[in-house]
Amino acid sequence: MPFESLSLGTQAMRAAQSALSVIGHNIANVNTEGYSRQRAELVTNIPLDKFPGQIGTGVRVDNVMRIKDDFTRIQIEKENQLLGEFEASTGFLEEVEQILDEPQETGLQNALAEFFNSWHTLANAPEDFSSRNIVFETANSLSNKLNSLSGQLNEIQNQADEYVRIKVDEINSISERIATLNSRISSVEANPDQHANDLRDQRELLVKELSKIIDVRTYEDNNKLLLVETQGLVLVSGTRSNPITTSTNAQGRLVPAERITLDPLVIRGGELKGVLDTRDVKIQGYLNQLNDLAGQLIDNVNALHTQGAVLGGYDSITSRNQVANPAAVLNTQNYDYPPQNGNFTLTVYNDSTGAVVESADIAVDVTTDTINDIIADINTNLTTVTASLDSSGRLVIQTNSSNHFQFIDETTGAGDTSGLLQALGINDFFEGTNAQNIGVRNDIAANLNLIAAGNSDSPGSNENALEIASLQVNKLLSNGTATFEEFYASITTDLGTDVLIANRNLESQESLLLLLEERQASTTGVSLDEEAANLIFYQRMFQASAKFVQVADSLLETLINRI
Amino acid sequence: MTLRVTSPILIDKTLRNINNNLQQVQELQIQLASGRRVNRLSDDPVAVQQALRFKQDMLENQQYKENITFGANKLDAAINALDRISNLVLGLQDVALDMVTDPYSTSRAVFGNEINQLISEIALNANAKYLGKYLFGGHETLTPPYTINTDSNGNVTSVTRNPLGIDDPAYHTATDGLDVQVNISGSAPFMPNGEGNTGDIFTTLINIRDSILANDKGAVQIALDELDDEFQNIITQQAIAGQRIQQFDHTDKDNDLRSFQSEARFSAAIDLDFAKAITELNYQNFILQAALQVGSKIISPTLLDYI
Repeated sequence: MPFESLSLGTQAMRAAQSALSVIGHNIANVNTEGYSRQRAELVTNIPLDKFPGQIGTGVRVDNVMRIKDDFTRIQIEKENQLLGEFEASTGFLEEVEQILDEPQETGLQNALAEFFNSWHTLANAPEDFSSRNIVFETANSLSNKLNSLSGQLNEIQNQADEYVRIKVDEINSISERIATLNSRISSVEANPDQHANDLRDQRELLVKELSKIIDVRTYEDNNKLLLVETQGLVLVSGTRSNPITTSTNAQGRLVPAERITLDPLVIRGGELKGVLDTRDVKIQGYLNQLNDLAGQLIDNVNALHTQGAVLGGYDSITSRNQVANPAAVLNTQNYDYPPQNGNFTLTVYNDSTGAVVESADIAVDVTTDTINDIIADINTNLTTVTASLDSSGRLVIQTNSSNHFQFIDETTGAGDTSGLLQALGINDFFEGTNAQNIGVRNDIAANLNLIAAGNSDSPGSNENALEIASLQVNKLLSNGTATFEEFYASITTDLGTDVLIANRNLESQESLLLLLEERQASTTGVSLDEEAANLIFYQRMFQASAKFVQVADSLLETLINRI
Repeated sequence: MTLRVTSPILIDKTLRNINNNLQQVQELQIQLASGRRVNRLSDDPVAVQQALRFKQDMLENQQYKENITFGANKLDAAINALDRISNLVLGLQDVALDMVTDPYSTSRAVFGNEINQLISEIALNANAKYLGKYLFGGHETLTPPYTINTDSNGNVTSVTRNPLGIDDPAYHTATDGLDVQVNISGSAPFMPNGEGNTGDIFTTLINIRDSILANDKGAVQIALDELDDEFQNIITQQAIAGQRIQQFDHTDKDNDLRSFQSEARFSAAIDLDFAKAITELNYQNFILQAALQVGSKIISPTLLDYI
């Protein structure tokens, strides 16, 4: 009996020591992310059948268990996907917000207003170099502003591409680590009495990290191996991970893709969803709207400008756009701004008297006329003007040294109604078609007289400048419901609202997750008070057991000394 | 279920609360430093849209004001030129009336020269410039609208007008949808029906000169009557110019009013209510202090401190 008591006492001391080291482990990991507190499970030893009854044989540590809350953990994994999505979109949207620096003084709105105002200044003094220069300078800075806005939006899209690449790498690295942990957990827990507590904590933490990036679902099989998949694509199976890669979509943007087929993955959540949606829907949307604005600006200003008279007229002019096939009917050719049926007038003036030398209306029928027909028409109807195609396929119109010409009817002031001049890039103002490539026609920089302010050959004629200035207040965009400024204001409001909503979503998601994590921590987290109490408790147990050993020892001593 | 409160939860919560407070203090600080309640689009998208609308109004009105000032100055210059011309004509009428009754032929010859001078002066004023551009040239602002032709004795034989563009109207935009003509038709004050036709003041003046030299009192009388009508022409054009200036003035006042309202609304939309912001900042600071003190009290103690 005393020998049994000795072993009972030492076993109890061992159990207390084990429990104490679990407490030590808990305290050490009080701040470790993903750590679940552990508890030594003490059970009574198998009792001995004796007379008069069973006698207990003490205690042993049956197991070290992890306190877990799977229900909350799964909720956290799910909500973490939304958090990732909102974080990614908020981050990128806020960058866009910084680019459109309204309501400050340097925004696009000011540039637009200054541009249109400059045409008023030109109308006030169409003869002056200085007022022409203001038109050129403001048009130039408006173009630059549009160029840089579209460039910066593009740059953010490129950053989003880079972000996708990094996140795909992260997914692969996490998958690989989960696969490694799978193999270790599986081998530890092959012994049914063993629990790979810390390894499981690590694996759960990795799944949580993964769920922030992409929507994942997990299943644990009988061998304790975790299967991780996203939308039917397996990322981790058994002890092997299946890396994914990136490919380029039709818009030239980077998307996560299956490694072998390069098929784009279906992304339903996480940071990847946030970044892809923001890049391809939101930012692309702003970019499209900006291009729409620039395209309409180019189209409307050019349509009026080609109908105007320039100061001093032209001696010769070469079209900016090449004629692809001079023998083809006009409406079969792909012009950015296609011509329609109508006519334009060429009027020739004497340089010294300013009197009209000759004038001809050139009719344009886009269903039957070719550029060659137009050239022939000009050459037949006007004796002092020759039209031809140069070696690069550009239309050249020129007159002799004592004359100059304009594209207007001197008596009525009417200009081109066919849009052919605009299509070819003759006597227009802007070049380009969108926000990225808009610019002032390059020969205007060298000769400001080429800004068409009037509708007659006289230097004081300002009708065309007034017309262009009035584009500012005309509702030309969004199917005739918005002025340029209103259209731009709606882009900024859309963006502002998008950022606001994204921020609010993020805030509420953060607090929801905080709540869940608190709930999880309340079950699985380490409480120092609790551990301190247990510490004393097991310390006392150890001390008492030691005392018991001492008592058993003294019993033995008594026995031995009596022999 | 009662929540098991663990130390990390306590610390996390305390830090988060303090951080929230700091964020609000920072937001108020940004507002106070910029003087604007709205500093980013997302601060208040609706207010930003309104602000953009009102700013657009201000920017447009600024330009309309420039157009109006410039146009009114041009019209003013035209009125002044016409004023000088009408004074010259008035003086001539007086002298011509005296001359009709003057018996001495020598003074008539002197008077002939005087009229030549006068015609030149009137033509010179008809060629008046404003900022280097001819006021009565229509669209041909860089070519003198009137040319004086003289014979070998220095007598004015005719005054001809520029055949191109002299009657073309030029407009400035006074406000959205209102263009006001800023020049006087070049012919209207001097020869509304063309050279040598009824109403050509220069032909009439030449007639008066020739009739006086020829001592043809009847013809002088007829010519003086014509001159009366032509004088009226000039006055009429002055009145027209005056009306246009008045139109500019009225529009300018309307524009100013709108501009003023836009400015006030722009400010209301995005500017900061300082008193409110400072009060809020103080309150926020107070909360921050409280959070810090409470935090420092609850973070430190655990059971370990007491064993």
